[in-house]
Amino acid sequence: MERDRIRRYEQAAELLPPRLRRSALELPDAYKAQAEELRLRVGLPLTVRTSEGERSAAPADRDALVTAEDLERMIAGVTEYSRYASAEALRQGFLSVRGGFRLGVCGTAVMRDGAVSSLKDFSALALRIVCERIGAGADVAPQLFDAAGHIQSTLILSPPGAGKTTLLRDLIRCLSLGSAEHRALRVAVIDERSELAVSYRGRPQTELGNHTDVLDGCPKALGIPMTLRAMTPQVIAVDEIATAADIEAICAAANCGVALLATIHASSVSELRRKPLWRDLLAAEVFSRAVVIGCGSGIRTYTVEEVPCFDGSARD
Amino acid sequence: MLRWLGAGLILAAALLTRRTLLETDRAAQRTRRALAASFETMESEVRALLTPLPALLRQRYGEEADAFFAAVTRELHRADLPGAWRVAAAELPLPPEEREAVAQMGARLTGDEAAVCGALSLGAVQLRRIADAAEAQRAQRERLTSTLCLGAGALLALMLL
Repeated sequence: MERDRIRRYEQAAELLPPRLRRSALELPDAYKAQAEELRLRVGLPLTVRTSEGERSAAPADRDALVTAEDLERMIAGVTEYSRYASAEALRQGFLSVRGGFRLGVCGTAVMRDGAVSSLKDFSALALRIVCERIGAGADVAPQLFDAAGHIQSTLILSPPGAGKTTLLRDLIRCLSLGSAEHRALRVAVIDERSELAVSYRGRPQTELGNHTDVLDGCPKALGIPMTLRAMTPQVIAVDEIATAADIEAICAAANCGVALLATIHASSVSELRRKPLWRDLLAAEVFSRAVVIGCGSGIRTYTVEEVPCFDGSARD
Repeated sequence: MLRWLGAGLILAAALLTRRTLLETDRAAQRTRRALAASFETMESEVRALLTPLPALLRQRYGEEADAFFAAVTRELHRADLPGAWRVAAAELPLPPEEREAVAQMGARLTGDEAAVCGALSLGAVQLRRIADAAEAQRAQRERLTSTLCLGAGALLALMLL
């Protein structure tokens, strides 16, 4: 596993401009294995982010500082000199990169008709080393079915950075592949921010199973009814429900008999009840299971809970 | 006998030179037309479909343009796009000032849609204009080339005889 993470880090470092690449590759292997992101900020040294924080990956001399030209060159490289082809993603502040990486972009927003139409004068980049944990959801997936073998709509809950997206990705793969006990399901993924499939030029770069259809870069509220009509999925998976429109689309899909897999920033079901938006979601009683991710002593644990009815009573 | 043979060889060399010069001229003309047409196609693809440049470079436009784009793609492993474009432009069968005009296009292929379309459109217009001017003067240039080559050959042959 560590070897694999080092390899992924080195692949990510290859995307850096040459002079920054050298210092990134000189880091010790132990640090490479923990790296989650490479960060470039104009006028500052290249840093590597791990779960413990950021560390400089370059000497503090003047020549090692990131320049605006470095950022321009890196964006030109990852977009293959075709930034116009990634304009919609760039407008949202990220780019999917060949190899299954994701590049967060910061700069000056170009506003048109009250909305961000593009970014210019780039000031910072964050190269996310998307981490697939094949098998992370293998023990969880069977617990998402009821006694009759029907998949149950499930929420994945944890604070930010605990691995919701990673678990959701592997659950999609497990459900799409099926198992000896449960047949494969058609899964539609509405990948609004390209974090699940990390699609590059329309092709998913992560392992999502054989029966998965990915709608990339589409807002969840629009994508859910689209895939419902077009792909007749048995499961719809979405990352980070965040708006009332998302909840409305989810409720509509649930009424069509589709199961949903979704992630939310919350540490427990009881925390959901305290926030107005999530109270609406719970009131709709779409989700009957919740997977709560724990991170005690650096080891992730997955606890599958039954979501009680909104009035507090247990489900049948 | 040897003199007649020498005169024959001189005339043959003059004919060969004439043919080579005319063929070079025609190859340059074909390259101009092919590149201009490919730049126009690329520009319309970028505008209408936002097709990325690597995909555009892989498309087929005709022998002369394909050779240029293949050279750009090959050089991209060693240099950035402006650099690769410049190296490939240096190999084009065109006069130096036209090669330089094509090379300069590369610097404007920065990824911005307006800049890319502008560069491709300008490149196409420039090459087409040069090709049209060359076409208008073609008969005169071919006559001049023939006269010079054959005249010089005949003169040398006569002097030898």
